[in-house]
Amino acid sequence: MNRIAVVEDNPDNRLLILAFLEDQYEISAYPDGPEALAGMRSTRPDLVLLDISLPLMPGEEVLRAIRADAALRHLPVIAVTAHAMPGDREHLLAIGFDDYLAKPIVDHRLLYQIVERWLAG
Amino acid sequence: MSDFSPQVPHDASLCTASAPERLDGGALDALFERGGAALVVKMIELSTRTMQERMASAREAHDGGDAETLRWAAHSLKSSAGILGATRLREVAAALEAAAPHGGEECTRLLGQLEWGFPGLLAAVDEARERFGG
Repeated sequence: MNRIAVVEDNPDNRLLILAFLEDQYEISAYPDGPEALAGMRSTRPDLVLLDISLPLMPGEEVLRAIRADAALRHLPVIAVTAHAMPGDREHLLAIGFDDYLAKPIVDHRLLYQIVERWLAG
Repeated sequence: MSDFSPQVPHDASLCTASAPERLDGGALDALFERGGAALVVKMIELSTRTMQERMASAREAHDGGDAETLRWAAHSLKSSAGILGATRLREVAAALEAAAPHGGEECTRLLGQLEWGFPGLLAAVDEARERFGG
């Protein structure tokens, strides 16, 4: 079973993603960047779903830390964001995210499709 | 500094205390499809609790002049409102998120709208909980 790290500070969003994915994947959920970086070095996920607006360490900074870590830098990292402003997607892809998913996540099939696409790649 | 009383919103169509927030049924229907009534009820409880905490954080940040925490709390409120399908409250939270870095009366007005509208959201989710059999 593939492993997914979910980095999301809002507990309701964590529950939502868990409910949508936990029967297909092994999920490790983290409320902030520092805890996620420490946890991912031991759990070795196959993919990361990373919220952008996080306390302690913004999502963009967490991404930089992932890309700077030899054990993690190969991971597909998908930005999950409620910003949804024009140009957000292009900006996030330009700074190194592999894909982008807008919140609220209403359709679990869309989430599943994106995750599967990156796990297959 | 907790002497604030919620202001009457300038645009009463956004939030009114007397009329429950209208929930976009699609959001909770999708949860029901995935996890049944138990998931819907669990999500309602978690989201409303999260929102209550963020409302308190937003008020404290506003009164203390902490623009970044106010922006973060508004962003979080926007996200939770989206999960519940609370479209009007989500719009107000998004406007507060955008206004927070600039401060001023606009933030006071928008935060007042959120506080004014929140009881309506609680009424709406109570109705939804009954509809889903929770």
